Amino acid sequence: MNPFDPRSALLAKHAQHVVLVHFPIALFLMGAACDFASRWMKNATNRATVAAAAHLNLIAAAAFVLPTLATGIAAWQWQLAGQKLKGLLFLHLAMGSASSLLICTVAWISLRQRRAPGSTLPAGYLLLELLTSVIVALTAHLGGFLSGVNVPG
Amino acid sequence: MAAGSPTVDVKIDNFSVDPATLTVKAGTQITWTNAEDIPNTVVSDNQSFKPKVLDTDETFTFLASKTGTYSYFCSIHPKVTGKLVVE
Repeated sequence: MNPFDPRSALLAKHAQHVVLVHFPIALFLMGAACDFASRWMKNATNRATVAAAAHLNLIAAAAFVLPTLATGIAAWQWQLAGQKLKGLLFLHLAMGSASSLLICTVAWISLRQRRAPGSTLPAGYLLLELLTSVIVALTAHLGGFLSGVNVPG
Repeated sequence: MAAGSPTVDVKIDNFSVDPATLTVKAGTQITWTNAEDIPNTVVSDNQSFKPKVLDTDETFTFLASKTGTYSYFCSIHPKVTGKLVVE
């Protein structure tokens, strides 16, 4: 590999997408877990602290969505010459797009609630978080399967 | 592809190509088969061949008409590499 060729250095044999993708997954799942945990806390201070941690994790997850999506699409366009995807690769792209949209939606709802003191999270917010967690986990499983991490042996 | 050309099969399985290094005479047809249940590709470093992604059991055939050494890799799994030597 020529280290001075940007395409080779950034993508060819050192896929940045595979590195970056861990951040939105971990941040979102931690954010959702904190959101759920805060609902069961009786101490108001603890509840507010954990809810704030959830909010920050969700915002950070949304911030990582863009570079993750961009590197995934770049890998598709450069490594696979933008060819029409099918099978597992297409499923990964579709579910990755859905995950991105859902993560940003949850983060936006959380941000909107934080910016309007006194307002409450809409009904179904936790359900949306749960659904997003499931979609994110499935997308991650597919990505792991594609990269060989989830393959037995 | 040229009819009557000698043919050699290469299998992609378990994140490796078999045989990893293949030496053939010029004019040989090499057919790669993806035996894995995940997609793979075989892209030569010098872009002499760059087929579409191979799904499970799909094949790609390359007519080795020019002598030389062709190192190749899977662009989805860069650790999957192989070498084709055409004499």
